[in-house]
Amino acid sequence: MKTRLLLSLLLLTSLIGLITPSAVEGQTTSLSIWPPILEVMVRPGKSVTQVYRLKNEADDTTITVRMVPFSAADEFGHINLQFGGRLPDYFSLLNADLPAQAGLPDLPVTLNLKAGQSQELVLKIAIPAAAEDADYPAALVIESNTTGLIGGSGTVTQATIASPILLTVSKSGTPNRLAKIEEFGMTRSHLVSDSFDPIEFILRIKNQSFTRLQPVGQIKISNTFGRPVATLPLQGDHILAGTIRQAKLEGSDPSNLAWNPVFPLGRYTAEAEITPQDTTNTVSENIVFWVLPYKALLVLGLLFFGYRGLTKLKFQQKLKQ
Amino acid sequence: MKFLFLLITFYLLPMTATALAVEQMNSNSYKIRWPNLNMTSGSKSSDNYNILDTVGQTAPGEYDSAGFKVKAGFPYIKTIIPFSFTISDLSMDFGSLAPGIFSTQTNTLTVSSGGANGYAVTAAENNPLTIQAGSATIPDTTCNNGSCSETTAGVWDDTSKYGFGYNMSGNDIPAAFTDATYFKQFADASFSETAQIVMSSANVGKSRTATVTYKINIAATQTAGDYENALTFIAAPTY
Repeated sequence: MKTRLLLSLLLLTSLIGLITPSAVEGQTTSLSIWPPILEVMVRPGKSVTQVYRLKNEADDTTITVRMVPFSAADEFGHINLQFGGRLPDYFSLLNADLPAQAGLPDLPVTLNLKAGQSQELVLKIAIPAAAEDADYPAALVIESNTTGLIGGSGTVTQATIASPILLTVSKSGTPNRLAKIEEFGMTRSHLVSDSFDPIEFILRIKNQSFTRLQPVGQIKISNTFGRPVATLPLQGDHILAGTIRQAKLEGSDPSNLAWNPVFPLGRYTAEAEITPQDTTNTVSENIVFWVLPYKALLVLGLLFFGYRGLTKLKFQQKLKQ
Repeated sequence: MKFLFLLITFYLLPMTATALAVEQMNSNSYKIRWPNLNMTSGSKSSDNYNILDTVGQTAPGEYDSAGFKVKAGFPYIKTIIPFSFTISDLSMDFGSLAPGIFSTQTNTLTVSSGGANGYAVTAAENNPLTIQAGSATIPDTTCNNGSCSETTAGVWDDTSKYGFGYNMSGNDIPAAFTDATYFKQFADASFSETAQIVMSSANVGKSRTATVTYKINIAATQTAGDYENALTFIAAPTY
């Protein structure tokens, strides 16, 4: 009897397990794209083709592929997609396997992607022979048209991914690039830095040319005697034409342009030196700063005067006695 | 004996299903990290078009040719990691809303970015939550003291303050979300507000995950009905 009861319970739990819906029942979107970014410099009259690999790793979805211009959203390299913005007719898809009214598909193109399906997108960038030198920051944007369904009040979410394209049209292949140091200083407005704190700089570089540039450079630090004590290499991040970008050390956070010496002391000179890549247009700027262990000195001073005050008080009390 | 066999079969069946589900989830998270990037595989030619003579490069890096220069992939790192973005649940269904009681829903955003310069995810709503048939809206929250907006976070735990807002927790979230009581409005595209960053990093990251908590609170005077809006999350690598 006990065995039958046990077996019946097992059967019941099995059936419950079968009919209970999975915990993950909401619709999911997951898209991946390669390459994540593309830099292109093309002469007028030439064309280049890049294969993008797109993969849908979640539920079946419909996607729309389009080219969208972008601008710099801030000084850290984030993009601001300008939906509705206009781009010249330089971009097209060469896919013969995508739906098209006639011949090749026109951008934007809408296609279905099943769960786990990959799709290669063959993007052609063709520059007319009469095109002028200019930059065209744009992104290949993949919009998932899948939205959730709601029964009552709520919100539905959509996913979009973008792969930026930094397109430069140049007749010479070596456009003249000019940079300006917009700001170079210490992040703290103190005249004196503390020996036990990292020395943090801020360096903002402006691209004064009509094409994007990558600054190559470093911050050189010399001590009181003019002897070099440190060189901080800067990461050659892209700066779009006419925009400003905050420099950072290679592989660091955007806000981290810091020097971490072991107990610096005295007067220092820091020189920021920038050269736009493929040019000799070097610009530089110097700042002088002092480093003293003022926090430690302050504590020592307080301790000293506190001790003196205490001993004086004790001495006066002794005299009174 | 037959009964016992059937019973064991029944018992093992759900386990098999679970195992398959787990495999699929692993696939979602990791399988594409090292894809075959042989871009020449698969024909892209037809009677009219043949791209084999202008095929895209098969690996990140640089190539020069007469008249063009191309670098694919992130600078400084020869990455083969694709850029990927996942939203765990597309439907934030609050069902029936009760006045003066917070209703919350959550989903997760996951980003993998192999680039030296990281990424950013921005979010914006098409409009405030709007009744399906009509123009009544649930306004975006201004938090306890009326200070929060799409750019500024504020504490929102007072049930006498109404609206719709969100909180972020997890990896790479804005510092303004100090804890679970801090909320912001979504940027409203119908008022041309700029989409705001909800996740960002300047570094290489795999499976960076953040949870979005959506919260609604309505007044007793709120017009009865179902309210909806749509949110767009845009993930993009940093240049």
